[in-house]
Amino acid sequence: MRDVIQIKELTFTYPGGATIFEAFSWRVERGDAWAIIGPSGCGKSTLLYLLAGLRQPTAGQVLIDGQPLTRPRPRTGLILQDYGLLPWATVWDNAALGLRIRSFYGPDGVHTPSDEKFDDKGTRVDYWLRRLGIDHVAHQYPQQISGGQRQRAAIARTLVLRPDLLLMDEPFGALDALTREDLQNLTLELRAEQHLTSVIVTHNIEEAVFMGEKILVLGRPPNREAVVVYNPEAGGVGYRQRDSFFARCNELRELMGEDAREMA
Amino acid sequence: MKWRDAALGFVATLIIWQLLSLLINRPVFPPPTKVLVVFAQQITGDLGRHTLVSAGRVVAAIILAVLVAVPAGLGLGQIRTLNRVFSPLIYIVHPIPKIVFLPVILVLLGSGDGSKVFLIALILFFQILVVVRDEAADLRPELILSVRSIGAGRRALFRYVYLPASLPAVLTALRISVGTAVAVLFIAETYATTSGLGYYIIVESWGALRYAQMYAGVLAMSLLGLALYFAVDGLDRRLCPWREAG
Repeated sequence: MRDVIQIKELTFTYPGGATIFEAFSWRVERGDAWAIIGPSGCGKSTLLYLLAGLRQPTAGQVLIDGQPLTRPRPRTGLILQDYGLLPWATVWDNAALGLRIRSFYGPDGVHTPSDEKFDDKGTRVDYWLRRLGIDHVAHQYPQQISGGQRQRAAIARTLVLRPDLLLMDEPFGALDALTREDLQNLTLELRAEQHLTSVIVTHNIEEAVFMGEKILVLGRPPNREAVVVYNPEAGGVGYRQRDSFFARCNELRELMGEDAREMA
Repeated sequence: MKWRDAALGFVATLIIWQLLSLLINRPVFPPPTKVLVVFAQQITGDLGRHTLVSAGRVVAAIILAVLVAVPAGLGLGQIRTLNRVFSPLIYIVHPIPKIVFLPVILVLLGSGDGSKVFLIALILFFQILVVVRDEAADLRPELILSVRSIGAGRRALFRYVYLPASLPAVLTALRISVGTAVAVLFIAETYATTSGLGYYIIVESWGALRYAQMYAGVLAMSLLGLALYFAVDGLDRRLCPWREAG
C-alpha cells in the first residue's frame, strides 16, 4: 500500500461547537514531504494532532498504514513548537525518554513496536546526539541550552525511536532566521537519510514552500476540500534563492490571501 | 545554607543566650554552659531515647502524608471534575488548625504512636495536597501531549512526568511545614504519653523544675527540626539537581 495517511470524510468539531473539518478527505503517500499552511485558527494543528492520535475524529476516519488510529502510534514521531522537553531531565535523558518509556512497557505492540530491541539504548542515544551536533551539551538541562539546541534535542528524541512518519507543528517558529534555515536543511537531510514521510505544519509561507513538495492549504473553517499546491522543487540546493521559489511563495500568498482577509 | 554558616549561627545563638541568662539571672533561664553539660550527659540516655521516639513519629508522619497526598494531589490537578468536587472541601478544611482535633484523635486512635503520627500527617497532608495539585494543574498541555506522542500511557506519564514534576513541590511543602509538624508533635506529646520530647520537656523536666534538663530537651527538639530541614534540603539536591542548574 502506498498511502501512509488516509483521511476519509473527516469531521471534527470542538466541544465548544466550532466545526474545523467537515467531510474532509486527504491522503499522503509513502515518502511524501508535506507542508500544511493556513492562517491561525484554520485547524492545521488540530489536523496534526488527529494524525498523531492525540485527538479523535467526531466522524469519519483517520487511517495510518490502513489502520484506524485510536491512540498515538509507536512509529509516528511528533515534534512540537515548544519542543516538549522535560525541564527536569538532561538533554541525554530527554533523548532517551522514548526508549525508557518503551522498556517500561516492554514490546507490547501498543506503546512499543513488538519488534523493539532494548540492548543498544545508550548507543542509539549517543549516536543521535552526535548526529545532531548536541553531544557536548548532553548533560545540561533544557533551560541551559539555546533554542536551536533544544529543537535539535527534540528531533533526537524522536529519531532515536526510528519513526517512519514525522509530524512537526511549527517546529522552528521560535528560532532566529539563520538557525531556522539551518534546521530546515538538517530536517530535510535526515528525512531523506531515514526514508521518512513528513508533514510539517507552519504559518510561514517561505517555510512551507521550502519544506513541502506538496502543500496543503487550509482556510477558514470548516475545511471541506483539500486544496493542494504541488511544489516538486522543494528542498533542492539553492531553491531558496531561485525565482521559481519566490513565484511559488506568491502563488501561495494569493491563495491564502482571501481567507486570511476574511478571518481577520 | 552552608555548614560554616550553620556553625556561625550556632555560636551566635550561644553568645546571645549566655548574655540573656546573665541579664535575667533567674533559675528559669540557665546559661548554655550548664545546659550543654546536661545535654551531653543525657543524650546518650533518657533524652536520646525520647528524641528517637519523636524523630520516628515525625518521619512516619512525613512518609504517610507523602504517600497519600501525592497521588491525591496529582488526581485533583489532572482531573478537573474531581477538583471541582473536592476543592471547596479543601478550602474549608485546610485553614483549620488541625491541633484542635487532638482530643478527638486521642479518643479515636488512643494514646500510642498512632494518634501523634496521624495528627502530624494530617497537617502535612493538606500542605502537600495543595501544592501538588497546583503543580499538576500547571503542567503545560504540550509537554503531556509530546510525551504521550512518544508512547506514554497513564502509567508512564505518572512515572516520567507527573512524579518528577511534583517532586520539587513536595519538598517545598515539607520544608515549609516541618517546623509546624515538630511544634504540633511537641503539644501532642504532652498528653497521654510517657515518651517523646514533649513529654520529656513538659512532664519530666518542667513539671519537676529541672530547668537545665528542660533546656536540654528544647535543644534536642531544635536539633530535630534542623536535622529534618537539612534532610529535606539534601533530598532536594539529590532528587532535583535541575533546580540548581537554572
